[in-house]
Amino acid sequence: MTISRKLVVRLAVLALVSAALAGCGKPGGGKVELNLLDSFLPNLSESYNVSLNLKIKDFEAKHPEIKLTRDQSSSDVLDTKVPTLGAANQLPDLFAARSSWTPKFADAGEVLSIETLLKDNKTFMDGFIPGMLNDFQYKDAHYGIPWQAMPISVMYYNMDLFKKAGITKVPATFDEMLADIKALKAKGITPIAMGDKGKWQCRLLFSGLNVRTAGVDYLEKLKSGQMKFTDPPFQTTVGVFEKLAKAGAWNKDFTSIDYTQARSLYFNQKVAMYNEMVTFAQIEDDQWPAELKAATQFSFFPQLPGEDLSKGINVPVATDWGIAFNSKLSGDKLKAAQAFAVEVLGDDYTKVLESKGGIGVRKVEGVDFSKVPEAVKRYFDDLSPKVVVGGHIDGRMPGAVTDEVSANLQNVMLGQEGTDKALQNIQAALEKAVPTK
Amino acid sequence: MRGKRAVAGPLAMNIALFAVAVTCIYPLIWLAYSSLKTENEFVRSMFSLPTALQWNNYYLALIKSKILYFFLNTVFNGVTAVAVIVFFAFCIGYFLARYEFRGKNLVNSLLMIGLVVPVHSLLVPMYIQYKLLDMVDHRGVLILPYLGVMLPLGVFLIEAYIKTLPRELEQAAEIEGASLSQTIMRIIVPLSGPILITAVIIIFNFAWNEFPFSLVLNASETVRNIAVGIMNFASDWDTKWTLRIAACVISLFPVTILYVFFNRQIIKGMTEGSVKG
Amino acid sequence: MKALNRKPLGKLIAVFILPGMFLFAFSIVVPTLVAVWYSLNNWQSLTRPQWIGLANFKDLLGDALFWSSLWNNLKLALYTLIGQVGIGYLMAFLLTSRLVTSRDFLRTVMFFPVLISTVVLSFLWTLVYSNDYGMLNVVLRAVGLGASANAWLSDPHLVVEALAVPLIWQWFGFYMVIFMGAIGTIPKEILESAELDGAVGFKKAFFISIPLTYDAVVVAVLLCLSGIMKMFDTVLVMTDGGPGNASMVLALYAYRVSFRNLQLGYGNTIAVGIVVVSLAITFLARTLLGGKRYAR
Repeated sequence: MTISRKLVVRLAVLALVSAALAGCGKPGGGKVELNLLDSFLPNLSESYNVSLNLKIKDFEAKHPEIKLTRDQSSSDVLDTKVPTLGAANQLPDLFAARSSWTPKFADAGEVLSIETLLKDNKTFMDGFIPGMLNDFQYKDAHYGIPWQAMPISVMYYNMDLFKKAGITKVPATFDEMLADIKALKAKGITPIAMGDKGKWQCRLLFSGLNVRTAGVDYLEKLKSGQMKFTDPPFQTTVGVFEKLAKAGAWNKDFTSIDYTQARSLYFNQKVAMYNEMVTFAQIEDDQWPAELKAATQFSFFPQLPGEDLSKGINVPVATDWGIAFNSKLSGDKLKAAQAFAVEVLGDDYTKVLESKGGIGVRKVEGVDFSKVPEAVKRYFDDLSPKVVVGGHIDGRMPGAVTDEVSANLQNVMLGQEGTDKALQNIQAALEKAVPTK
Repeated sequence: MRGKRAVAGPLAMNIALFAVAVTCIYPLIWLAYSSLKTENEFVRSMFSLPTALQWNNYYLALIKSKILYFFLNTVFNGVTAVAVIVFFAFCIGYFLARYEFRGKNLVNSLLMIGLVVPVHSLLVPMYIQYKLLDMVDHRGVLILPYLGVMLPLGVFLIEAYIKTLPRELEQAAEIEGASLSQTIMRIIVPLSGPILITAVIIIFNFAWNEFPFSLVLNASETVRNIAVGIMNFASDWDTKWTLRIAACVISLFPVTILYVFFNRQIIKGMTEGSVKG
Repeated sequence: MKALNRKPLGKLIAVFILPGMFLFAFSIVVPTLVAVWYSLNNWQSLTRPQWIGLANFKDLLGDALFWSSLWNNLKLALYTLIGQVGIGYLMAFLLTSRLVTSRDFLRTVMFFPVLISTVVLSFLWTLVYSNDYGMLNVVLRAVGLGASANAWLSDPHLVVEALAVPLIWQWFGFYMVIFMGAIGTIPKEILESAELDGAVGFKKAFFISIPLTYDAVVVAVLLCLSGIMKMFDTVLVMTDGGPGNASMVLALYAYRVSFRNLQLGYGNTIAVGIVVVSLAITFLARTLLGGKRYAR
């Protein structure tokens, strides 16, 4: 009976497959279990990663009754993973989340507000610098604790390359910058590095300039309809892009290299200027060559035509990522999560971060600033910037709008589109995505 | 019969073919020597040769990260996927090649759908599906999505190949009294050697490099595969390129060895041609 | 076309076909149907999806980015058909003829790109295309064609063509191997008698080899077309759809809408669009190519 033999073989395979697929039972335990999905990969040397991992180890040591299971992935990977888990309503207890996801998760009721999490710990709640939680705000409550704040748009200037082109100081006005660009190009030095493959780097400069031309709350005003992208402040900003494009300021392949490659251009002293959202805290850990450390000055984008800088410059900071808490937390798990928030993301960690030059989100005192790199000290002491929170378009605008901003900015930077058309497109996208009531 | 032109033609062609072959092999060479550079060297000039061989990169990649463990996980994924998929693909492919039956169009249509669906749009439905069945983070769960993606490919390739085998083979065997399974096992399968081995290599390679399904369904460290593991050498601010490349080279070993080993078999199978008479 | 006379057909179907197809249906058909259901909902904020029927599809028809992405996919389909399948067949033909030396070596090496992960290869090709230190421009400048040196992946007019090259380069070996297997099943007597009749080179290809391996050609075309319509990794790594949206392809657009903009409803609508278009194209291809003409 050969057919039945074949059948038996087939059934056996099917049985094997099913056996292999049969679910395993879950282990029990007397401990409180917490799951953490984070991006603090231990094999990388970023300062805040190192500090946070140390703090987490301390937390685990101090709380033997809590079993913390960690799943770690890079933030690129989290961009796919967290929305998938969110869609399936299977988010872990604690997870790293982008501030731009806040409205979606909060609306869906999947995340716990910080106010609820810390309702027994008012002192901790008050310890946050006012405004630092703004990016995680949704309708009067906040839904995440960021682990650092980063200035959105810092200009790096390589003074050695400037000297080669006969320039002695950082450009103070935009016209001076255009002249410097001309001089640099005459010497065959690429003026500014840009790695916009991920499309967000051009938005950093866009956001940084908008804070200066349109005020730090321009995003809220745009969303409520009080301002439009076609208004004069934004015309100034995009006009800057247009003029830089005409001057040939960027490396030609800026749309196909990403930020790491743009940074390489700066590290290898192939470009004179670079604009980025920077974690000052990691400059020590990066492999910056000594000459580069000495030659670099951090500063702001130069004064725009018609800009009044007599009252100082606003430096917007953003908190793009933070730890969010699952709304299903309750009882012991909730207490464990509270402890985590207070001990891992609290004052101790902030002190360590700030001693390396980073910007923490909590009010702390007695920080040892001796190890902060020279260039960072000069940025803060000499220029006295006013740190304000907000203005990063990625944190507060839906993806459809930021996509449109990047697409149009890239076209402007390639000289393929004019300022007016670009702003009209962006405004149209805004009106479609965020209808004003 | 060989005039000057007759030789020059093939010569130019041979040179051109060798040039193409060199471009095909260069990435492997580049990966190998790039993995032995320091991070600084790599960042300064991506194509230059290393000044000193940094075997330390392999130590870091192997020991400090858990790559070896992911390696074994991925071997498991690959082997089970190949076994299951090739088995079913052969059954279905043979049947489609040799028989007409009422549901044939339905089978073809379903397989076509599997061929055209973009992978990422299935991530959320699959995650919910396997979560409901409590199969997420289970070692065997990936066989199913892999089957879904690779079965159509396997079926169509095997079907096309079997169609080239003359029906006289089966008819001769039937006349001699052999049963269907005997015919298949003793005659068809050996003759299908080349396509089966090709399918094995393609499917194993797919399982080896596969990323999105593993990321979503099998992300926990105990069952993570090597493609996902390698991604963790990158992050927002600080990508250790040389470590990542060393991990890629480690990752390339099994498939390359599998291929070079089986390649001999495929070539033998192909040059022997088909059955005579 | 005598069907083999054996046990009742039904039992054979149950044994050969059903188990595999059942697993397949469970693995892919079910999630696909679920994805179709999502596409009929407005699933913006991860709350309970709201049924909106075909409203998403109406938006899709008016979505300029969908159509421009489709156009890019169609261009790439043409390039890869000629490149992957065409060059693949050419290589298979050459490497089974006597004109080429070291056939085994060439054959082995040309398959290597298939084995390397797409992400790694795409990254390598971005280096090759780099404006300042990329190999392509270095070579062009070295031979005096420096004026043609370009930022290839940043040029909206050339970026799609530039993307076609790595795709062709990575996969032609796959098709070559398939075709070599198919050519290998052609009985030697047929090839020898054709050569005696004077058919060499292209004549031999067109009138002998291709017809006798036609099934493989049809399958290759179908695999190539279906693969290019859902192509994702290469574009993601090399240009992420840029500059602007010049190199946006359908699968990347669906991914971006679903996972970056968190619009799972509309993202799945795009995916359904991909499936419909792909099925239409493959159906068209299958009809145009016939397929049963040269069965032996």
